[in-house]
Amino acid sequence: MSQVYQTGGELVNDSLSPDLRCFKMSPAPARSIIAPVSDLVALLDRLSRLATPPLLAGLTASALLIVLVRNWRIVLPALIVQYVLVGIMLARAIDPGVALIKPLAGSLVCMALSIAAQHADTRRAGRGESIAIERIRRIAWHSVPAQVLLRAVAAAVVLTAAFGAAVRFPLPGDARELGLGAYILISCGILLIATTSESLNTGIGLLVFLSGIELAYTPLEPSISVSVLLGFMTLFVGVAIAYLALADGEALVETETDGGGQPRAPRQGLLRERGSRSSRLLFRPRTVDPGPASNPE
Amino acid sequence: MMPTPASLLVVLIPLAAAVPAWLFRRWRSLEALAALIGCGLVIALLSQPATATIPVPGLPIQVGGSLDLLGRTLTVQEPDRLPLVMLFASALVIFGLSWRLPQGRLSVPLGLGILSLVCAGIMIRPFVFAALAFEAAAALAAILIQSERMGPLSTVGAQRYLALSSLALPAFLGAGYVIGQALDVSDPALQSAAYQPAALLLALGFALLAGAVPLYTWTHAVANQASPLVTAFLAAVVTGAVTFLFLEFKQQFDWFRGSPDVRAAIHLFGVTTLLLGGVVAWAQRSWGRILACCLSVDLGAALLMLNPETPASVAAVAFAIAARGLSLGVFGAGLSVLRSYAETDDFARLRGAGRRYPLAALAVALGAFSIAGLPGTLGFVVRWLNVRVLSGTDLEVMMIMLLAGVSIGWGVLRGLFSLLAEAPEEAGAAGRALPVLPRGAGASLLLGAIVLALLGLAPGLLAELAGAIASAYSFYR
Repeated sequence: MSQVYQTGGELVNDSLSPDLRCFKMSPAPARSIIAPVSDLVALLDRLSRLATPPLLAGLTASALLIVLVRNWRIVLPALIVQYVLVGIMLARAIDPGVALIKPLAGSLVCMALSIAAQHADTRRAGRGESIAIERIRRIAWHSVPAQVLLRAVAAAVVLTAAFGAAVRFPLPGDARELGLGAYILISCGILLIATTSESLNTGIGLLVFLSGIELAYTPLEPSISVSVLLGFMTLFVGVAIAYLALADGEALVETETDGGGQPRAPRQGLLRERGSRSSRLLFRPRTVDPGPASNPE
Repeated sequence: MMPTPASLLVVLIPLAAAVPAWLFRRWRSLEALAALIGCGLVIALLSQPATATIPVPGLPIQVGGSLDLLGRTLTVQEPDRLPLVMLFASALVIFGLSWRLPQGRLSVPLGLGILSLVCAGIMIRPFVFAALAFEAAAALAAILIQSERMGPLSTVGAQRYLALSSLALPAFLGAGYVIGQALDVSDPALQSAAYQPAALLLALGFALLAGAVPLYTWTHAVANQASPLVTAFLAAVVTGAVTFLFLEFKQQFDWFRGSPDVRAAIHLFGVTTLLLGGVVAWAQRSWGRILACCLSVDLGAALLMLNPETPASVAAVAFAIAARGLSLGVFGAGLSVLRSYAETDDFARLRGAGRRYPLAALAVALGAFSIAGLPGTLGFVVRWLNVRVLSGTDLEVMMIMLLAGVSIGWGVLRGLFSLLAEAPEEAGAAGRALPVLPRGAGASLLLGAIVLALLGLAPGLLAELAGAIASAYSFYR
């Protein structure tokens, strides 16, 4: 791999060709795939030589933005930036080619989450509810919601605690400068999980938490298989969160007004399934004596 | 020809069965058949001893063979073989019950995927990769819990399950690192101190995965929101796998077995989980909450059985996992019917539903009473085994366990009184379409209830399996 990216993206070494023949793949398209990846690896390698403070500052800023703002159109780009920063920091401890897995997996997850969030917003827009883009366009700078202030105070406390923990309980391993970054991400992730109820935000908190764990653990166990599997974890968890975010987005369908113009009380999620799909699967309607409860069919 | 290691097939067969189960998800019979065949094949495979080689033409299978994957080994070791059989048997029962009582379009394929991952978690070494397998299983479980439900706060159960399982991940990863460092310490006195953080981290990780801390966060949310058979699946198969992994750790690591901190932590988690389930069970007003309390009490009791190092305690743990799968499965099957009928599982709104669906009421009553430990049911055998172990060591906890059973029984009785009461008159109900059970659902409920009752009266088969599982471990000798 090093032979590939040291050439700055130009594949001059054709030692890959026999392997490609095994996969019945011609060298030309393979090079077209590998060359950009090599460029990315080389870029990550160069970026990893940056000084630590700017990287940590970027990581802290992205984590703060994610904790303070509850708008996916702002939070998801911040999460992508955070994944790139985590990738750069990981490249200081492990092979850049392996560290690249993190930003790539994170970007894929963010794409999946954005699709789910967009779908949910489309539904909300259909019901005339406030959606993410409108909240950005009509932002009221003069009246900062009390919730944001509360989150800011909590974030300040958590960041202080993370800094204190990094000083008092430094993580083992050679790459100690990653410890503070790990503590910041873990604490902000837990804060986000603990303070939100929406699946998308909780899920983003979980992803931030997992990034922190990866930042803490990868320097201790710099093996390719662990890094690859942790990348897969990000993907698995991301898919699950996207699914839950979709379910959350559909949730407010239940508050639509019914035929009589009266707002219908939100029903518990399980009931909707029971009342609609599951009941249809489970029961065949039959006209018999009246039963004790209302029939969803 | 090189024999194929059975460990590979244990992982691949459920995954392979998940494909037709997903493709044929509209045809319930084919979906269930794929799952049953998959589980049956693995059970048949693992019923051979670990030293055996099965002479399949063209594909000889070595039961105890090792699969090396990027320097990690995947092996069916003798102590793991029968626990794996038990997990697949529990899954088979729950998939069988869901045949005519659907629990969501993706429940069977996802269940098979989770089964494959947790079994890989039991077989893989080093155990850091087991933590990753359990985390992946938790991600799939979150989708399984959510199923196709949508509604305000409908994702709480799935979120909590995923978040708590993810919190367990760093505990296992950290323990893996500490163990690696402790191996370099040569002084035995210092080495035991070096292992101490790993032991505590592992205890915390296991407790989080088993739903013990922070108290009953995922158990109640999941039992209330997930389809009942999904709850049964998670309680029997996933938590069962976590329990067997714990036993495997005791078998493998002396420092883990001998750590007083681990014992104290597991005891504390067990008692609090048991206590909370028992304290609130009698006052519940819905079957979902009763199911949650049953889960808490059973998990708490199982945690308490992990501490004593006797063959009886290991047998009690193994027996409890089998009994939990069957009891919660039958309970969940009955509850599925009642929930579908009334759109809720509140006692008040299900008034009279037991007369309309007597088989569902029978299944719910038998399953719940079994977890409560009513004499004559399968759960009674579990409680009997628990009492035998605890009577010699901890009489107070034994009494708490028995009282928790009484509390569950009280809650179940309250529910049954409502279920079997006369239905209230409803205006305009005459002539309206009333749901009826699909063909085969009644038979599933009846068969489940009969099997549960028969095994309660003659638990020899399960006791023999639990005894064999206990004798495969040697840490208590």
